[in-house]
Amino acid sequence: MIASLIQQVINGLLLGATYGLVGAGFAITYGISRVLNFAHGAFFVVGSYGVFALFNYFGLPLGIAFALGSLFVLPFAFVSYYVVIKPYGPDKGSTALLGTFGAAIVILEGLHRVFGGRLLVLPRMFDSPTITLLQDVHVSFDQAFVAFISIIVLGISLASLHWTGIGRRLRAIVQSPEAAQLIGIDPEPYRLLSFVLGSWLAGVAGAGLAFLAPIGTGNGLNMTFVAFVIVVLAGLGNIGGAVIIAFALAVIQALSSLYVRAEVSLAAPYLFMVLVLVVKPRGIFPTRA
Amino acid sequence: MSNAKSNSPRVAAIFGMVLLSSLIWRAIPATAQGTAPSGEPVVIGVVAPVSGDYASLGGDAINGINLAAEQINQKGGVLRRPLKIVVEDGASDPTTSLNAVTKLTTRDRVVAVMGTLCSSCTLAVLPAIKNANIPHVTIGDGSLRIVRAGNPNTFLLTDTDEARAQAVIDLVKNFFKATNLGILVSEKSEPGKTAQRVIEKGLAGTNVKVTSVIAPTNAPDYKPYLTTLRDAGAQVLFDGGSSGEEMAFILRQMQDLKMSIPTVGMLWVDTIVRNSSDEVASNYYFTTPYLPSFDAPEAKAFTAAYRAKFKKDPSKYSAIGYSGTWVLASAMELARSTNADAVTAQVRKVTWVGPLGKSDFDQSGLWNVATNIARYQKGELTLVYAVKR
Repeated sequence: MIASLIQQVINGLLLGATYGLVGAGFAITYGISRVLNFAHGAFFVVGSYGVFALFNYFGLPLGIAFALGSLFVLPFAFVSYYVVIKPYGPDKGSTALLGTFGAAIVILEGLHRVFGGRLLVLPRMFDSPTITLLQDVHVSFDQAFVAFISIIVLGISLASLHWTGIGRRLRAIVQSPEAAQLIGIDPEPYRLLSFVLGSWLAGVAGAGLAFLAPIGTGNGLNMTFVAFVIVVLAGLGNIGGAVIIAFALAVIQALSSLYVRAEVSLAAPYLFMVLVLVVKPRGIFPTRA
Repeated sequence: MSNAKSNSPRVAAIFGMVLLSSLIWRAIPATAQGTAPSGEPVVIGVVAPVSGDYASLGGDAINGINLAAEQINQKGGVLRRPLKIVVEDGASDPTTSLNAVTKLTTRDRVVAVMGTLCSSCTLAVLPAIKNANIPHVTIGDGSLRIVRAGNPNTFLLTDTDEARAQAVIDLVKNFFKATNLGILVSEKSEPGKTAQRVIEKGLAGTNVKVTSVIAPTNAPDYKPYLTTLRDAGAQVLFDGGSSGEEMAFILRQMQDLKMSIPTVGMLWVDTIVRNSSDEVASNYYFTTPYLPSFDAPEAKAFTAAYRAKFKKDPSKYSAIGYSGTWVLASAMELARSTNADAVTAQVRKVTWVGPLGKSDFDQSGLWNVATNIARYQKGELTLVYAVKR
């Protein structure tokens, strides 16, 4: 029983690394642009298809395809920013929100046309499938490696936000765009940077998950929901909070399949969100702004 | 004179034979005569998943339908007219499937529809098919709710979800002799939920303990659900409704968790073989009414023709699509028209033998094809367990 509890917590933490990237990316975009980016899941899917394309069509080794796959997100993020976010956000947030919906549809439909509608599967990255931690507690090399890279990327991104000049200016805009402007920070380039960075983090998450689940355009909407639940629970715009909630959500999801009825387990994250919002309507870690 | 006298019965006999042959020739459907079809084509519409979760299955069914159409046209077409197949993508999605049926019945003016290879999609399109009043044959969707929905023009041609579930019960009890079954159901799968219900009910009160979990369709990770079943002591795993690509990952993750127990599902195995190792795929048992190794002459002829045309083995969906097309064409010949009511009446009377055996629709429109359990081993599909109807 202890072994299964440990196994489920590990399952949750490993998936939590992917959710962490998705949640942090969504929170960074919202924090600066003040737009709920519903194309976030589409950028996630672009990362997955990027890895598949590099491996299948360009013949790159899986490790290199994983490293480079997320870069496919960058042109999509730039174009989406200049077409959808810049003309409408952050003052016309609802128009920009609808615009991100449109961008998601265009990107996902485009991928559907290019790659066909079938689900795609990548082979294992490592020949040796598992690491045995304890008796009845196992972790696959692929999942451990993907989680490790996700945590590294997440760590570097969060560290950059805290300890670099650019990061400090970004956080200043998150806390108060008006005050940031008063001290001479032009928010525009930082809005672009945050949108591209947030989208790229989703792409990295998608590139990693391509080794753990089938690749399909349907994953886009699922991941947008996951990101939305994470940032609402964390408090809109709280990047560090989003990472913590992402791990918590994945562990709750894993444990609920062990302890509650199957039907309830699927709804567990959403029930958790409702409960939290009843008690703390601004999320668990609301931003001061 | 005597010669003339003695010849006259022979001349009369020859004349009579010619007359009789002519009458018989006129009575034989054009499909059997081999004359080149001409005129306006008879159009059958197909709604199948060309994209989405079950796209690989849709491709197999469409291949089977196209093979049948080609053979029918080689034998003279339908009512001496060419048979044309128009395919619309249902994308394994009820709304898309409904739009596809509407397009086929209004724009393409099809005389019959086949599809949709997804029970929830078929249930969604039934009212539109009823309104259009055209015959409809399914191509692998196994929900009994389809024939119970009361559309007299709809025919269910498959092993039903209930029959598949019963086959799984037999397999678990009599073949594996297991006392603990784990069920993993895909959240959005109608056949998966039906099979879960039938299996739980069928094994209630027996010595087989059943634990069920529901996983999200296209879950990013199946390990939490598999761990739950492993901890429940499952000796056999039944998967209800995952796609082949999902199944490849489920089997891979079972390997990661060191769960070396047999897995039973309702999916054709080739997507799993394509997307995982032989070792992983050989752990998968699946329900099927057809195997390429079947040695009935009609099954062998179909398998050989399919291999020659597509350079690969047919799946059960190919056999079902092929059979449905032939049944519809034969019913139109017997009805001597494409009139919906006439064709519908003849579908039940058609005697056609193909890879699934002899056509056998009951009054509700169900041809409950016998299901079996098969397995992939060393590049071959082998029959593991034959279930009696």
